[in-house]
Amino acid sequence: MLKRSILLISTTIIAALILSACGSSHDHGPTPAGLNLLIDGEVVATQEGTNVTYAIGNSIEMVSGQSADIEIEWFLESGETYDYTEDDGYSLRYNVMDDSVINVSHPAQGNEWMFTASAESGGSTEMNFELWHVDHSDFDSRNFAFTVSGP
Amino acid sequence: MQHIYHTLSTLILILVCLNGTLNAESLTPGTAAPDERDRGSFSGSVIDAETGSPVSFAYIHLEGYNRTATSDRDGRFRLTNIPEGEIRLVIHRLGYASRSEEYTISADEEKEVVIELRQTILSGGTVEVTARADGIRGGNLERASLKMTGSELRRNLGTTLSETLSSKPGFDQRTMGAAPARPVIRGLGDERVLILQDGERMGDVSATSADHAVSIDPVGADEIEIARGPAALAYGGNAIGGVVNVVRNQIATSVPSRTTGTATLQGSSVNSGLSAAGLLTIPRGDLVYNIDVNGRYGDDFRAPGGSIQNSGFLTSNSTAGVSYIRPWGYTGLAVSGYFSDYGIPPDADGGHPNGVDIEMRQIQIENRNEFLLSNRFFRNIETSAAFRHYNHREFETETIIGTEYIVNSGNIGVKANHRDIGFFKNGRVGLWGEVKDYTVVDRANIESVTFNSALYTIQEAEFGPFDLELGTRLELSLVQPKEERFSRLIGEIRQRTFSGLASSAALTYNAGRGWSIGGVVMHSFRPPSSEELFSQGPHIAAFTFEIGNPDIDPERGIGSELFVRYRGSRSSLEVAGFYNDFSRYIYPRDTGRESVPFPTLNEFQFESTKAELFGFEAQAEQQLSRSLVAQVSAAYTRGNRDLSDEEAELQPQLRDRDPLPMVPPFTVTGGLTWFRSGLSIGSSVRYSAAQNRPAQFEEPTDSYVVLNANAEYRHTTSGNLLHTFSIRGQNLLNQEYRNHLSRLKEIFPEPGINISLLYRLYF
Repeated sequence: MLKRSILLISTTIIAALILSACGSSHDHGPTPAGLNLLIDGEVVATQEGTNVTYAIGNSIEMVSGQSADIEIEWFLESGETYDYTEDDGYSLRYNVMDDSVINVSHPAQGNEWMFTASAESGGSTEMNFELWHVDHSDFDSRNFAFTVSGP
Repeated sequence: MQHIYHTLSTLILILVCLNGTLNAESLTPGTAAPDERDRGSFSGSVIDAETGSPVSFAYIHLEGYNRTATSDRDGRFRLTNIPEGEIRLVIHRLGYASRSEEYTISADEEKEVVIELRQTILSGGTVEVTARADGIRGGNLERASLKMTGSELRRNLGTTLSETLSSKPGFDQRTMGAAPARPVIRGLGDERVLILQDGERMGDVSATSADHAVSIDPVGADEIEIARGPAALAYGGNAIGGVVNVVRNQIATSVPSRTTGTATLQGSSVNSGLSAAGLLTIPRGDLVYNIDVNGRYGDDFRAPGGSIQNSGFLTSNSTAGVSYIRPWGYTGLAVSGYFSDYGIPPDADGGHPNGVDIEMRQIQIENRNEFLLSNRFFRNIETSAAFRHYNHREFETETIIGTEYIVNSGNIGVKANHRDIGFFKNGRVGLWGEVKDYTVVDRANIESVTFNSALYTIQEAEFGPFDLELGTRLELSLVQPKEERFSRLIGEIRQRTFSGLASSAALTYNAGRGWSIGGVVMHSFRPPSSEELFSQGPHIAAFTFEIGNPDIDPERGIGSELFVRYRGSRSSLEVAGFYNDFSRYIYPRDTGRESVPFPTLNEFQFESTKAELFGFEAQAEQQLSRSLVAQVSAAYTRGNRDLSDEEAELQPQLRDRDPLPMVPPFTVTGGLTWFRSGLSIGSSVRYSAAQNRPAQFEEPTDSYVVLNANAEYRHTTSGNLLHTFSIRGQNLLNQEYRNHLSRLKEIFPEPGINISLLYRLYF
C-alpha cells in the first residue's frame, strides 16, 4: 500500500509539473539593417550593414556656431523604412565622443528620433546611436563622423 | 499544438500504467511475485590479506542490481534481497587492490564469505575500470571507461566538475571564468559529452555556450564515473566524447545497517573561497532518508598581475530523498535544488565592458523504482521519471536582463536487465522519452518544444579470454518551434524531425599476466539543438552574435579507439590511440564578421562540416620502493575540419582544411607520491605545449609549466569515524599561463597560486 502510494504520488507530481510548466517571452519588432541621418529631409549619412557612407566627403560637415536638427530613419534589410514607436517601448540613446566639438540635445521638435546637433568649436568627433527597447539595446550603430570647421 | 498534447498525454499515460502495473501482485503468470523466501542474503568480512586485520570503509557493489554496502569498523558488511542465481561482487577500498568475485546464491540462503584485499599504493590498482554505466567490472578484464572515487576524488576536488576531472589525461576544461567550466574529453565537448547526476540528465544549458555552467557541484559527489563506448548508449546516442556521471546516491537502493554520512569543509586561497557540505543517510525500518546539503562561495580569482574581475560565485546544491526498500525492490523520490550566482569577466572589445552576472536556478524532482523478478528471463526492471525546471538569467547591468533561458523538461525511462540470451551473458533493453520546453528570451526569442525518444539495448558476451560488449540505440527527435515563420536572417523556422541509429562495439582480449588489449568503435548520432537550429541574436555573455541554421542535418561521427593496458602489483600502464571522424560536425564558426546590430560581437554561424579529431593518451605508474610511486601521463589531440563553401569562395587562398577551434595542446605530467600508513605526500609538474594550430580568428597560446603538490592524511578512530585531511597546492610558482580552451584567454590568464584545504569526515 505504501509502495503504491509513493508511486502514485510521484507520478502525479511529475505529470502535473510537466503540464503546468510555463515560460515567458516579450515581443520584439524587427532588427534594423541600418539607418539614415537626414537634415531637412535630405540624407547626409547612411549606415548599411557595417558600412557608413556620407553624402559629401567622409563626415557630416558643420560650421562652428551652426545648429541642425538631425532625424534618424531606420530601415530593414528589404530597404523599407520602419517606424519604431515609443508606445512599443522603443527609444533613442546616443554617445558623443567629444561634446566640445558637437553638443547634442534630444529630443528635437518633440520627435524621439530627432536630435539637435550644435557645432561648438572646430575639430572632429564621432557619434553613435542605440535603438533601445524597454531596458536594453536592440541595435548599436557604427560611429558617424562629424567635422566642424571654424574657430 | 494538438499533437503535442497528445504526445504528452501518451507519455504520462505510459508512465502511470507502468508504475501502476509493475507491481508484485499484478505480474503475469510465469513471473512469480518475489517475496522474502525467494531471496538470499550476503554477509561477509573484508580483511587485509597480509595482516588478517579487518578493513573498514570498503565499498562493496553487487553488479546488475545497483546494490552497495560499506564495511563497518569490524570489516563486516551485509547485502539483502538478492535473487537466486549467479552474482558478482566488486570490492574496492583506497590503499588496496580491487577485487571482483563471482558467487552462486540459492533462494533463502544466508551466504557468509571472507574477502581478502591486498595492499597497494598504486592508484591504478584502485581506480576501477567500469564496463557499464550501472555496474562495475574489474578483476581480469578491462574496459574503455574509468571512475574517480575516494582519495583521488578528494585530492582533485575543484570548484567545478571539469576542474575535478582535469587531472586525467585526455580531459580538459572549456572555461569562461571560474564557474562556467565544462569537461572536454579528447577535444570533444558541449553536446558530445553527456553529463548526468545519478544517471539522469541535468536539464541545464551548459552544453550550448561557454558562459553556461554545469548545474552540479562536485563537493557532494560520492564518485564520478566516465563511460564510453556501448555503455554510453544507455544515456544518449550523441555521447561520442563520453558520459560523465556524478554519483550522489540521492535515492538509496539498499538499507544501511546504521546512519551514515559525511561532512566536508574546503577552503581555497586563490579566491578566498569556502565550501561546506553535509550528507546523511538515515535508515528507519524499510525507509531510507537521504539529506545532502552543500554551499560554495568564492571571491574574484587572483592571477599573476591582478584579479580576474567579476569571477566570483555563490552556489548551493542540495537534495532530500526517501526510499522504500522491500524484497520486491525499491521505490524512491528525491527533490533537489541548484542555485548559483556567478560572474562572467568583462571584455570591452568583444562582450560587455562591465562583465555579465548570471543567476541559475534549478529544481528537480525524481522518482526511481526497481522491481525484482523471479523470472526465467528478466532479472529486474527499473523505471525512472524526472522533472526539471531550469531558469538562467544573464544580467548586463544590475537590472537589465540581456538573455534569459527557461527550460522545463521531463523524462521517463524503463530498463529491463535480462539473464543469458544465447551466448550473451548479460544485457539490458531500455525505453526512454523526454519532453523539453525550451525558451530563450532575448532580442530574438527562441521558443520550441522538443520530443525525444529512444530504444536501446546493450549486450555482453565472454568467449574465453575475449570480452565483447555491443550496444545500439534508436533515437527519434521532433523539434517544434512555437511559431513557424520566415526569418530574413536564418530562413524558414519550422518543425524538424530526426531519426537515427547509434551503435557501438567494444572487444577486449585478456592476454594474461595483467595485460589486456582492446578496441572500441562507436557510431554517434546527434540531432541539432534548438540553439543550433534557431539562434538569431546577440549572446553578450558569450561574446557572440549567434546565427542558427534551420536546415542543418544531424551530426554523425564514427569514433574508434585502440588500447593496451597492464595492471601489475608494482606498476600499471595504459596507452590508447583514438580517431573520431565526423561526416557532419556541427559547431558555431566564427565568421570574423562584425554583426550589424552589435559591432563588438562577431557573427558565429552554426554549420556542419566534415571534421576529424585524433590523438593518443598514455599513463603509467611505477612503484619505486615500498612507499614511493612515480606517475607520468601524456595526451595529444589534433583536430581538422573541411572549409565551408562560403569560406572557400571568399578566401580561396586558404587550405582545404583548417584546424578546429578549442582543441587542447599536447600535455605531459610527471609526479611522485610517497605513502606511509595513512599519509600520502605528492607533487607533479605539468607541461603544456604551445597551441600553434589555432582555428581561424582564434589566438594561439604559449607553452607553460605548472607545479602542483598535495598531501593527505587519513585516520580512523575507534568510534568508526574516518577523518581525512587534504592540502593541495596548485600553480605553486604563480606561473602566468593561458588555457587554450578558455574563451577569455586573450583577456585574462588562469588563476595564480592556490592553496586549498579539505577536511572530510566519514561516519
